[in-house]
Amino acid sequence: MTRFRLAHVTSLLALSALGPASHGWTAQVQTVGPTQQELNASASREGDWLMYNKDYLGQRFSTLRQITPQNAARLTPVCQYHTGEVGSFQPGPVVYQGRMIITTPHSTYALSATTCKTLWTHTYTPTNLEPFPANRGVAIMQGRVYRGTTDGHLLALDAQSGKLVWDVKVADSSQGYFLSAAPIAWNGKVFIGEAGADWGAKGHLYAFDARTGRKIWTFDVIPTGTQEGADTWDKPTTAAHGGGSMWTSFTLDPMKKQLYVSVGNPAPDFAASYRPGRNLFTNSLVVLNADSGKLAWYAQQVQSDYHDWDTSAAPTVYDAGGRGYVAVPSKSGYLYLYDRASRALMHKVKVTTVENESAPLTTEGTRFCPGTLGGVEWNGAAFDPAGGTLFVNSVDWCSTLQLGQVRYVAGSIYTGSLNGFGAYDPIEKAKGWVHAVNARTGSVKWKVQMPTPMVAAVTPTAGGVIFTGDLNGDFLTLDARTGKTLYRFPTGAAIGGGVVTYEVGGKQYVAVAAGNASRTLWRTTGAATVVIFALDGGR
Amino acid sequence: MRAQHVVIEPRTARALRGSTVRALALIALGSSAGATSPLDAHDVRDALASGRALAAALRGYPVREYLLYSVPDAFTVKRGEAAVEAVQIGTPFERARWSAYFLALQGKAFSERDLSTRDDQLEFIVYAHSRGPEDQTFMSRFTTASLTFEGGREVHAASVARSPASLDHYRDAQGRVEFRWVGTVTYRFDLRGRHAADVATLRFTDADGHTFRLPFDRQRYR
Repeated sequence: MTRFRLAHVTSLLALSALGPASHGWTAQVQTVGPTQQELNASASREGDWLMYNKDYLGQRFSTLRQITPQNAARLTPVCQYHTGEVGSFQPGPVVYQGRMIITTPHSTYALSATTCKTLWTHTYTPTNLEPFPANRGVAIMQGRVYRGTTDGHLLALDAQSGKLVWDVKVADSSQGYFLSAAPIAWNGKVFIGEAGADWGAKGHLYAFDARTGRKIWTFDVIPTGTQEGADTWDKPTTAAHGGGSMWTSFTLDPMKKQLYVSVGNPAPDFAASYRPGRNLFTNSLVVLNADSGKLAWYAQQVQSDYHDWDTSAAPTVYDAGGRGYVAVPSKSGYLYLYDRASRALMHKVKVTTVENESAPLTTEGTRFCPGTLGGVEWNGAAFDPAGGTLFVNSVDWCSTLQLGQVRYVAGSIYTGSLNGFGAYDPIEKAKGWVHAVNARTGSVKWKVQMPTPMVAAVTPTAGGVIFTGDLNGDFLTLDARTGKTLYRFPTGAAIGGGVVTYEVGGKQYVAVAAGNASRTLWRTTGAATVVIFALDGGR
Repeated sequence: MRAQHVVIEPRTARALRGSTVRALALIALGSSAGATSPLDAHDVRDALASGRALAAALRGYPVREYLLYSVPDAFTVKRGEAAVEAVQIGTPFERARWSAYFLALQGKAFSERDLSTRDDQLEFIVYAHSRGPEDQTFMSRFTTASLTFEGGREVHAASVARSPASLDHYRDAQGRVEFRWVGTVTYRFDLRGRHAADVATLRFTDADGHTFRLPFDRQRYR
């Protein structure tokens, strides 16, 4: 694929007439930040969006209230930032002191969060194979920017200049490993895990020294030997390529120093008979001590999976009604709500069409929903503490898999999908949902069907609106109480990345990562672009 | 591409020499066993129960006892190695057991009547992968097969069935991921009315021109 690396800024015609924004990025740049104190307070920092899901707990809630249901129709684009690249574009932008950082599979861009002006660009040249070119963003801490690469490296960049500080090889991409997740940084550590289950990899989560890149600890998400959970692989040899990807990002409870990790599907994806047993810790929430990497507890959403039903999006930690919860979305089409104290499953909320979930695969083909591209994909739930509401996007698209005898291994043959990841229902039938769920009871407050699969992030605010986007390329502002669309803007590029909001100079901005082009799977188009909105274009 | 005529001398061939001697001794004693053994009602019941139990166990379908040839490591692709991973004999009992297994795995209702119980057929299932990720039609290049019995009499396969190809990943010698198309070629021999000896050699040529000659003793396989 031809890729264009020239980054440039294109202001919209509406903006051009207004002249430069009054609050430039250079005014108050603090190269040593964000500090740990600032990161700890990220949920309430209105001017910043400091990590993939805004805050360590993964709540994504902004206390900004300038944009409301009453004035949302006055939202207008302020500027656009074209990376000049075409392909996967799914980053969660981070914003600190008026500067925004986004990623593409190879490049990292810093830009003004109010004018889209380029500050610096860093482009990484892979040194090994790239199983799946995708990247979901960065972590920032104490003047550095951390990101993974398509060939399994973890990079630290200087936040002021974009220059490389260190480059650590985390995993061998020739064996199917790559780093698509946005890391999170805390207390001198950077947390990152590999993806690659669909390429036969066996996942690990790591903590690295943020200053030096030295590896501090490793947690095997596919346990072997005497590790807890190893006995859930009835044939231990099958764990060697057992899967377990970490696709998106991570959640952390700083008070308890616990890291919450979503782990994806087992491998091979559809040959459950090849790997008998529950296959821990695939399709699971895993909670670790963030200092030591030791397992605290876990909850498996789908055992012995044969539908490619990953737990892929980062969980959301919150309190409601005096109880501590963690919400775990899944490609299986459910949002799982666990009690963090008892670890009991409190509610299992259906957030898309679920059909034939336990039907066996057949030679004629078994249609099931969500399909292999359905359910809750890489962006998870958001939590509005005032309303006690969880918001979550989902994909409503079914697949049909055909069973066949597919593989000889060590004296046995195994059955699985004869048609790869299945035949998807016609693209016209691919829809999406936005759900608002009572975070305490699990009841659905409202749900709205959308014309396309919904894979973008969802961001609620104290202003009573939620921001998101669809694969038609429409940036959307919905009424948080009803789900009614208040504002729609066609960006021209499928939205599959983050949607963040922040305040600079007394104005609330919303930035959306648009242009997740996938001609094969989602059949979406558009160039990788960030579009920034404000009321009346920021005037 | 000009076919390379390579004789694959499998590990199992050496082991078979001893049983060949035993089989010849049986023939000398006047054994009149045919190429296939008829399935009685007990066999069919047994095949059905075994297949169901295997499906319930979710541990794959064992074929080790029915292998004429297999590579030691079917996860790894080696330069110059034939793309055939295993060759399995499918006796009437084994095919009935497979039918039960495969139907049970799909959650389908079935009875003894639904099982494949053709006691006058032998099948040979070849498990193979393509040379590279683009070669989806590799199975079309497999030749037909023949059985040569003691005394030189030859029988050709009555039919050749090729499964759809599915993409899967392997490792090369350095552990790097390599994608290959995977599938099966099934040779079916109709042995109705034939009075064949129990020892024979299966011969076929794979997609890359490797010719396999695999001797076997039918008596060894239920």
